[in-house]
Amino acid sequence: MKLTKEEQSLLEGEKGPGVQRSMRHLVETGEAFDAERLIPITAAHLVMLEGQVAGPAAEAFFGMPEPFLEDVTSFAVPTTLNSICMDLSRPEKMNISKDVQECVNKTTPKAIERYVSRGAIPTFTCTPYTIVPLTYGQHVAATEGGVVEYVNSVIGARTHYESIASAVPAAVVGKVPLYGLHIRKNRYGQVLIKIGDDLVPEIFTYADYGAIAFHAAALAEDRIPVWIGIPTMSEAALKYFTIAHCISGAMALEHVVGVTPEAPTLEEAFGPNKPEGTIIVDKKALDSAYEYMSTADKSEVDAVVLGCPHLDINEIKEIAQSLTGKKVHSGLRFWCGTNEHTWQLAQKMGLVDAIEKSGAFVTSNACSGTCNFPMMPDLLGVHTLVTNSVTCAVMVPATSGNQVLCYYRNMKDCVDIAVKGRVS
Amino acid sequence: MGKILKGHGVGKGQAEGEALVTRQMISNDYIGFADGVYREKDHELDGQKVGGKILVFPAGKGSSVVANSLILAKALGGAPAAMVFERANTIQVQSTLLAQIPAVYSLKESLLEGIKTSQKVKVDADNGTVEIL
Repeated sequence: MKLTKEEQSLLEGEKGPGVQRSMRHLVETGEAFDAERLIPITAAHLVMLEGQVAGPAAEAFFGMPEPFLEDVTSFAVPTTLNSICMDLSRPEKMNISKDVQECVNKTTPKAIERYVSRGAIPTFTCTPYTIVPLTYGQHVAATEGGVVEYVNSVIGARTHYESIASAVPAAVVGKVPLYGLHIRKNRYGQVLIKIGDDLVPEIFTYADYGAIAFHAAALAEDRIPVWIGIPTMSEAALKYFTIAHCISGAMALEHVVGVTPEAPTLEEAFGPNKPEGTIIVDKKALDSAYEYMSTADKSEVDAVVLGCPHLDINEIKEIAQSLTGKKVHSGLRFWCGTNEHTWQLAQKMGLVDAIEKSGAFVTSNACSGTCNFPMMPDLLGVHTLVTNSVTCAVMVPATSGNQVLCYYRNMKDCVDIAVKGRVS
Repeated sequence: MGKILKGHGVGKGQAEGEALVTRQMISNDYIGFADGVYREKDHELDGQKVGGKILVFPAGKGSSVVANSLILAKALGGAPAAMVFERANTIQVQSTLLAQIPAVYSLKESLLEGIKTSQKVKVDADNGTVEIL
């Protein structure tokens, strides 16, 4: 790989061991892909895994970023941070025992300090682009599947699908190797996905969008999909839709004709590529995705998770409206997760009170559903949960070794189940 | 000397072991950190031990946590000895680099045809080769 004089000096250790190891990682990655050079990025998004989970897993993850951070005083570019493991400011409302709080306090504050002291922006969200916006065509380094998918597909900024461990070196150096999705010609569609005649996108719920994407992405594998037949999508719909692609497949970019910026038409979405195949997503496919993601068998439910923690203000309003005059079943944990910005807005609008009157909680900044339940099923007393999030439904059983199983349902059904305390 | 398949090396090092071939994509997230057993519902490797093997697959998939999962599996003993895959993507390449697991991808001939489960193979990341022993 061709390096500038300055890059070469970083590789030789002129700016200290953390920068040196970060450069080495970028060069090794570049060489694995035959990249010719590095390019500057304008922003980065990091996941503090050691602060996003708790318990022994947090301890295990603590050492991983250290080699890249040694003697690094600040990140080279504006760097946002992903969610943390618990709503540290409202543990009593979440009905978290002292044991759990102590467990979290051992690692999470230390993790936050580690990144914020180096200039990272404490956004603590998996939708950072709603707080620190990005623009079309910007080169960035993002990790967290949902962020990568949204940034590439919906905003049209360009990022590799950075793994959590690899985004740190990019933020430290402020560069990434030039290959893959940073190059326009590699961003064209490869496989066509059509909505079956027996489905009506106009009435899709968020969970439906997650389910169709989860199903089709497993078949598309690592080929960039071009969807046709979805006339329009809200920001929230796009969020549920895009993230599901990286859970069952391996692409970091997808196009929706007439909706996403690199797909104004079918022809422009494919560019010089010929579709390698056509996948049709029909009612049967939709139902099979719901079934695949519903691993639980007990009818009694311990927890309901909406937003983990990606809820926007419109979703919070929908939840508040559907909970009007209702009470959450005694003993069931119902957590609605968002970021602090949106939490404050919801508070001002009276939505937090409206939701919490029912016995549900609106949590801020906490990846509680996806991270805490699988790590501490016994401490939290949760073994069966219901969610409309693909990530939560798929990852919770996997990371808990099937100690916590899920039902995948749409938001309205989630609320109904929270009230009844059971899946009928 | 056995038959040598030529590809593109990732990182450094060599490893020898028994090949385990799958035609389905894999996610490092589903490798048991300590026991090395692969657990993914409906996957052809579900329940099989991949730890210590030379894992041969079309491409990596999964969430952004896959690199950390592989680092942890390497530390706790459950990781494959080496990985050979057909198509490279960022998450899988960076996972093997960061976990320091030798890997080779993009073999000249279709790797899934060239290597059979249970064959003894040697993966050389420095030279980008896979030797059938």
